[in-house]
Amino acid sequence: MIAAISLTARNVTIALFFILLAAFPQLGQDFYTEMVIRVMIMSIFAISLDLLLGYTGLVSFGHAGWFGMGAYVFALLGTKYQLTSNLWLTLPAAMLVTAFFSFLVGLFVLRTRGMFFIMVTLAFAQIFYFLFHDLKSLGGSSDGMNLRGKPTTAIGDWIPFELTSTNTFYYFVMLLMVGLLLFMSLLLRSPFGRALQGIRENEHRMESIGFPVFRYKLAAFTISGAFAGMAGYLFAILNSSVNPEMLSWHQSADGLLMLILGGMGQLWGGVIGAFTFILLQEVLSTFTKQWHLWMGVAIILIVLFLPGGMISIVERIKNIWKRRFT
Amino acid sequence: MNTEELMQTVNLCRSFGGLKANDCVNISLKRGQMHALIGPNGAGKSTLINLLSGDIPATSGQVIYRGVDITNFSPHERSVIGIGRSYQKTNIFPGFTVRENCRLSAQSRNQRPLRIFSDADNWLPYRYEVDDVLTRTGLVNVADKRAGELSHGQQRQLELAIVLTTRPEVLLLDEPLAGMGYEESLQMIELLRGLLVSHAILLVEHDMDAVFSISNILTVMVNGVVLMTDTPENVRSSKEVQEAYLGSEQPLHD
Repeated sequence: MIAAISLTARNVTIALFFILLAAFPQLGQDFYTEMVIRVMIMSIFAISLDLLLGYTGLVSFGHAGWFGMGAYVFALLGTKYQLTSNLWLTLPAAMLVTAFFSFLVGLFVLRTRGMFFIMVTLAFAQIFYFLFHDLKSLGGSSDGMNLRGKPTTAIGDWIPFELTSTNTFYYFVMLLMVGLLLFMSLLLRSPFGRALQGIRENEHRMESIGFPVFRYKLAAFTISGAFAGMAGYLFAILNSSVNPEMLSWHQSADGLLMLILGGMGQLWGGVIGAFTFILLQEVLSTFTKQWHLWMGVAIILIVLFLPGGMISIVERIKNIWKRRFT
Repeated sequence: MNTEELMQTVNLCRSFGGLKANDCVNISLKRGQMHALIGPNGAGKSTLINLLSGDIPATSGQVIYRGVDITNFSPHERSVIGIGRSYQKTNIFPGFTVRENCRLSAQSRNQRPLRIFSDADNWLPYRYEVDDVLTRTGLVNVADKRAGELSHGQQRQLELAIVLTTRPEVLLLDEPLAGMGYEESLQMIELLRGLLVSHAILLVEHDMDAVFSISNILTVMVNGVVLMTDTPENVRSSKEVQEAYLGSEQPLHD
C-alpha cells in the first residue's frame, strides 16, 4: 500500500517537475531562462558522470575533458574551419569524437584502479586542456573562441526550428535531458546496467563469474564520454563561445560536487545536484563576493547531514511517514 | 562411474619472490570425483586454486581443460568455459538482494549487453535459473534480503549458489565449510554429494571429518609440493603424511 502511494507520489512529483520546467520560459525572464538552460546542461553533464561514478564505481576526475572536447568540436566545425554548422551533423560529430577519444583513453586508464584511476583521468584531461590551450590548429588560446552563430537546423529545405530563439533552445535542451533520463532509466534496469552496478559492488566477483569486466567498463566510459560531449556542445551554444577552461579540472570537480550534493548512483541525483549547485552559486554570489567560501560551507553541511545527497531527503521523509502511519 | 578427465595441471609453478608457493604441481580433476586438497597452512592450497581459476598467473607450467591449454586464459574466460570457483573469504555482492546476487550470476551465462530495452529482473530465463538455484541451496526464504544482512552460514551458502548458477563443470571450492555450524555443514556436505555425479570437484577444506567422509581422492601438499595423491585410506595410513602434516606426534585421523 505504502509502496503504491509512494510510487504515485513519485510520479506526480516528476510530472509536476516537468510541467513547471516546461512552463518556465513562458514567464519571459530571459536571464532566468538561460540560467535554467545552464542547469539542464549541467544536469546532462552530471548524469553522464554518474554512469561512471555512481553506477560503475569509477571516480573519474577528468570528465571535463569530454565536456570541453564536445564544445570544441562544434567551434572547430562551425567557426574555425567553417565546414558546417548544421545541428544534425555537428551534434552527432561532437558525440562521436568524444566517444572515440574516451574509448581510446579508456583503453589506458581503465587498467588502473582507485587513486591511480583518479590521477590518470585527471592527467588525460589536462593533456586535452593544454592541446586546446596551445595548439593553433585547435583554436588554441587562453581566451578560446567566439562562435559565429548557433547551429543551423535545416534538413534539406525544411527548417523545423530555430535555435537562435532562447526559448526554442531551452526546449531543445530540455528534450535532450529528458531523453537522457529516459535512456538511463532503461539502461540501468537492462542486463548491461545491472552488470555495471555489479562491477561497482564487487568487481572481482564479476570477473570470476564470467563477465569481461574491462569491456563493460570501457563501454560505460565511452557512453559516458559521449554524453559529456553532448553537454559541452550545448554549453558552447548557450555561451556562443568556447574556452579551454571548459576542460579544466575545476569543471570536472563541479561535476563531482553536483553528484555529491544531489546523490550519487541515483537517477535524479545529477539533476537535483545541478539545480542545487547552480542555485547556490547564484544566490550566494548576489549576497557576497566571498561566495566560494559559503559554497564550501554549504557543501560541508550537506555532506555532514545528508551524506546520501539531497535526494536522500525523499527516503527520510518516506521513513518518517512509515513510522508514523504504519 | 564416469571418470572423464576435465582438468589437469602439468608442472605448474608459482613463485612469490624467492618463495615457491607451488612447485611443479601435477593434479588431475575427473568428473564424478571429489578431489580433496589438504595440507598445513602455507602449503600452497589457495595458490593452486588461484592458479586454476586464473586469479593469479602461473610462473611456469600449464593448466589444461578438456585438452586445451588454458594457462593464459583470464578468470572470466575460464568461468565461461566451465570452471567455477568459490572463495574462502566470502565474496558476494553485499548490497544486493540474494536474488540479485544469483541473477547476476545467471546473467553471466547469457549476458545480452546490447538489449538495453530488456528488463533484467523480469527476463524469464534468468528467473527460472535463479529460482532453481535458490531452492537447491536452501536460500528461498531469504531471497529478498540484502546479502550483507545474512548470517555467516547463509553467506557461505550464497557463495556456493553464485558459483552453481554459472553451471560449471569443474568446481574449485576454497573452504566451503569455513565458519559453518554443525547443521549447516551437514547440509552443505549433502549438497556437495549431490553435485558429485555431474561435476569434477576440487575441495580445499580444514574440516578433516568432512574431507575423509566425502572425498574419493586426496592430494596432500606441503611447502608448495605435492607429497602424495591417493585414496583417503592410503593417505590416512601414510607415515610420510603424518610426519609432514602433523609433526608425527599424533595420527592424522582414526
